[in-house]
Amino acid sequence: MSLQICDLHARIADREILRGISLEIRLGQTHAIMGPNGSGKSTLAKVISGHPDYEVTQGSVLLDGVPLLEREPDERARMGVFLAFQYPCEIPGVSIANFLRAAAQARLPEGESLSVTDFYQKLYREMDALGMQRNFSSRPLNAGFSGGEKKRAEILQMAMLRPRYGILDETDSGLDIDALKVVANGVNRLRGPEVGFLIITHYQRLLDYITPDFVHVMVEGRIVQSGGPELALELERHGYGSLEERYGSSKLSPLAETGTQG
Amino acid sequence: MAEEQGIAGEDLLQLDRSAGDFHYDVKYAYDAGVGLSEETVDYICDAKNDPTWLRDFRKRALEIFLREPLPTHWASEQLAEIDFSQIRYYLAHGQRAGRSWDEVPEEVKRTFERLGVPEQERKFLAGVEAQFDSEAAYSNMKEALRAQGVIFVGSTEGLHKHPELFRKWFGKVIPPGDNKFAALNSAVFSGGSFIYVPPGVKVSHPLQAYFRINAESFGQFERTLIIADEGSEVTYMEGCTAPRFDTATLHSAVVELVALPGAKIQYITVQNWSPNVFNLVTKRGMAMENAEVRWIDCNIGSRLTMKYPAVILRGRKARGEVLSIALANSGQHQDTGAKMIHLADETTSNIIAKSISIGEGRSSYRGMVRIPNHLKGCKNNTECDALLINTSSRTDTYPAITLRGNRSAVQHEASVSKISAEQIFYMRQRGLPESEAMSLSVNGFVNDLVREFPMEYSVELKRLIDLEMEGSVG
Amino acid sequence: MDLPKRVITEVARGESKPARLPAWWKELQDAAWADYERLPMPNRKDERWRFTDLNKIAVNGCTVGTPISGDAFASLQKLFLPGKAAAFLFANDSLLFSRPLSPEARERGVIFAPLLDAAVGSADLVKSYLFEERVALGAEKLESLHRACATAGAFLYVPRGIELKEPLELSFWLTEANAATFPHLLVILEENAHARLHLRFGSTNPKGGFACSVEELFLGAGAKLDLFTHRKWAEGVCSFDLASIRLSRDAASTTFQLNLGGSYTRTESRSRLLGPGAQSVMLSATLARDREEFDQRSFQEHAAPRTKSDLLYKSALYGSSRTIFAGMIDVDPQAQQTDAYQSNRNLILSPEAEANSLPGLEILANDVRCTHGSTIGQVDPEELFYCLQRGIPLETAQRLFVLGFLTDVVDRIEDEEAKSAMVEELECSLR
Repeated sequence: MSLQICDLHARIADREILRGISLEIRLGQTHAIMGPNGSGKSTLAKVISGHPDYEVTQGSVLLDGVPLLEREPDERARMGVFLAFQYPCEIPGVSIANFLRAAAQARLPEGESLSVTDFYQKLYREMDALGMQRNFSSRPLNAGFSGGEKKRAEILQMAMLRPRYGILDETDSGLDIDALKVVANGVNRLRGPEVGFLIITHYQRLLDYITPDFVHVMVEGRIVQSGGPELALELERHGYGSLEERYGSSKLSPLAETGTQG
Repeated sequence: MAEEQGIAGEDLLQLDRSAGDFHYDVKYAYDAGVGLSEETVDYICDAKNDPTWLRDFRKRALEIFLREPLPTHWASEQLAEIDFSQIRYYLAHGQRAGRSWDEVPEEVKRTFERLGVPEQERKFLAGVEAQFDSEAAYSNMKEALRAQGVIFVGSTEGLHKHPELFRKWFGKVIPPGDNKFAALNSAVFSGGSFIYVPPGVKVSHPLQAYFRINAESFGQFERTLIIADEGSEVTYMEGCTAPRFDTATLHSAVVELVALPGAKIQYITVQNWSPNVFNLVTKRGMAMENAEVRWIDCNIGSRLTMKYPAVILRGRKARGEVLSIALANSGQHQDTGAKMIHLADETTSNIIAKSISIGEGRSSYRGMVRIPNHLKGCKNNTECDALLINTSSRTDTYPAITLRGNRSAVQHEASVSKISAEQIFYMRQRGLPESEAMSLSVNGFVNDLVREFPMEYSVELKRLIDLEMEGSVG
Repeated sequence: MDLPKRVITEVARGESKPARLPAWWKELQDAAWADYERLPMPNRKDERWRFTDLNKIAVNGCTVGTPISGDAFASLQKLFLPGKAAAFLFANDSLLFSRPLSPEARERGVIFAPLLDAAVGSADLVKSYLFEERVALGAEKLESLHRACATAGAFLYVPRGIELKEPLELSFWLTEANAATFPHLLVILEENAHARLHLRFGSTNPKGGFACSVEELFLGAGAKLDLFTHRKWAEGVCSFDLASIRLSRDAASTTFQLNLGGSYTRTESRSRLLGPGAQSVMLSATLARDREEFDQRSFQEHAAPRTKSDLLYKSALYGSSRTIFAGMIDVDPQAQQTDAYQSNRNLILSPEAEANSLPGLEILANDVRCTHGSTIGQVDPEELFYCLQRGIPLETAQRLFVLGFLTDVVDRIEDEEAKSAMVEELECSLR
């Protein structure tokens, strides 16, 4: 059982951003992808979840052996892919609770309806665990939330929807250390043999709290180096500079000419 | 790009309107025939046993109607498609409404049962009037209210049994010459409610009227007059449906509200006429000192709706409010809005209008706010927001604001937007199908207004919005 | 309503205008006169004249070509300030003073000439653009009258890629109570050409007169035009100003008007965003006093994708003045990704003043950002009290607020020189 990415190439408009990514995340494993800005990390997350702006030009993604790429974004989500967004979007007028109910209902077989009491019990349990006030769930989703609140709401949703594979796209960006701990604890609570994680981050900081099994370094749309947690520490010490030199700096890259950001 | 794929839609006409789209063959005891003339008016007067003053009133109104041109210099050209000579102006079973559902003729009763009216009555209403074509088939109110002196009857019964109250206000808030359609209603009106709430009486549960058109090529012209005496409170709700016919059906009501000092009237409408109905309605309330009139209006059905609920703020510190939701699908034009006429110091008014245009639907907001000279401390706030779902959807905003003098303030803000593609993707990533994501967004857009409706209605509204959204995603 | 007779008489200082008029132009005039006589008078049933006090549109036999007195000539001479900028000054439709373009500009093909000269010297160009556009926001009858009578005015042509550094100046004056003027401005900016124009309307006499001006502005791809209008007619003047701008791909225009004086002033402004990426900024600051009426109509026409328009009209009202703002944002089905804004703000300072606002939208495309806002209000009594408590007299305090309120529009102008001139003018008017 795994999320298997094979030679994945993708582009937006005419710019190629992913240039052959291969990676397998087995259930129970936590992988981290690190890399400089513009290396294509966020693109990978969006392509796996089916963002319509990106076009896959080559390669495949299999979820527990089932091809993912021809599915609609909501089908992929129901198959078990959860993306915690780097910039969660505001949905005015729709409360967190109602939104999650709709999402939970969508996961039930046709004709079956959600037990409202079970739902709220579960919701409040998860909120308590994340140290959230109960009335938070009646606020419109992400509307007027602080950066930390948005990220916490993402983790709450992940906890409620229990994905098989969770992808965290720079969930640590813009968080202070306390908020970061809350988010990390939320993720650690979900870790187990039935779930795989892909953590995308620019900094090693988050990995102090969520220890990955594997660390991959991405530069210019390719994974250039893989290793254990020690690789993250090494990167922290030496920076991305040496890697960029070795694997194609952005100055030499054809992407640089168009001023692209991945 | 992606957004186009996501939101552009072709298949927009497959709406489920089945809820109201049925009709039974009914034998009518009274039928004024097709077309409109003085004889039609006489037929109605005779059938209803109108007093002479009312016969004269109707005939004067008919003259105005025949004389006045259609307001197509500002309104939709579609009005010209109404053939007034092909409409049936009066169709009735009998003159007396049943006090219990057992007294209601079988087909009529079946109709209202199918629409859930008796069930709602049991659950949460203080009184119900159910109008079938020209006359009420059922009219009843909780005994406790009758004991408090509340009157809730049909307009005919009102004018016969309570002439002193009825004549004092009838046609005063909206005179027949107000506009062509108010004149038409004044000439041939039948049905609608007459409500009087005595001083200090607070009617805690809503009174409801249900308007049903059953016959083809028919015009429904109900007339409602609500008088809330000093310090009283009342909420009135109306719902309407009709089966879908190929020919045009006309609904042209006049609703007059009078809130005496300190009174509060809340008037709630959920309009879901079938898409062949021309819905041309004049609604106006008068608010005396410290009184409050609120119009909560939701327009989902009809082919063309023209409706601009108004409040005349006649007494000091009177308050007026219009909350409006309009949903226009392909083939529909929701031309709605609000009017606030300030005539006393420290009067305040608030208008919030939200519209959604789907497919080739068109929604328009027309507003008028007037604060004349020498008034002080008056305030109006207007917000109109329009949401456009498909590339071929249309919205217009035509407000007119006049303020004289430096002791009052008016503020108007409006915006037009669409559902963002990022928002839809976000929701789909959480596993919601695209259509559901769209519905959720739309419901979120109107959520703050839907909350103003009673619980039972807001659930219904949400369901109706979901139905309308179906098929809007291509 | 009594409109001026179509009299094109001898010009004050010698030459006869009709004699210089080319035949093709004469034909246009005759056709326009027929239109003028055929078109109906403005009436209140017409939505485009809603709220207008039609009684104020009266001109009592004003005529074109009224002679200019010696005194008026002398005062205008003083107003024609020395400077580098190419400039024309007209009074009662006669050209009194001019300063030509720099030789460099002329060498590069720029033309800035009186319209009558251009009609001969650049006949083909003028012929193909003159009276091409109709503003059509209600005053069609007056626009026809203008076409039948206009001879005064200027023609500006800037060839491809030329960016004029110095602003051009153009002013039109009335000197007599029975004088009429029909100023015309025709601007053609070719691809990527830039120009800046200062337009001024005013009176030397204390009372009366009639004006009907038309501006036709054509902007090629990437062209940029700034047009600053300073209008200060004498009491009793009834005036119309009809402006239309056509913008091609990526063209950008900023128009600013400062409105003072007159008894009835109607401005109609149409921005036609016809090419993708075109942008139009429309600004107006109005100081309305006594029984003055300012009747402003605008139209933001988005006919191409990714176009942007931004309108801000502000008015401060004293006395028993009236203002009307009727704006429309029109977004065509093909104009996706339109960004349109329309804002009308009114500050009322007297119990008798009246502001009317009709901010309209007609949107036929869905991927748009359109907002409009309209407010009519007073000086915040708390703020006023604060000033009074500091010992500032009421009138001074009000003046401060009004100045701040209107300067906010002026601040949107990028041209520092024009900005400070406008602020100075406002300060003077408020004194």
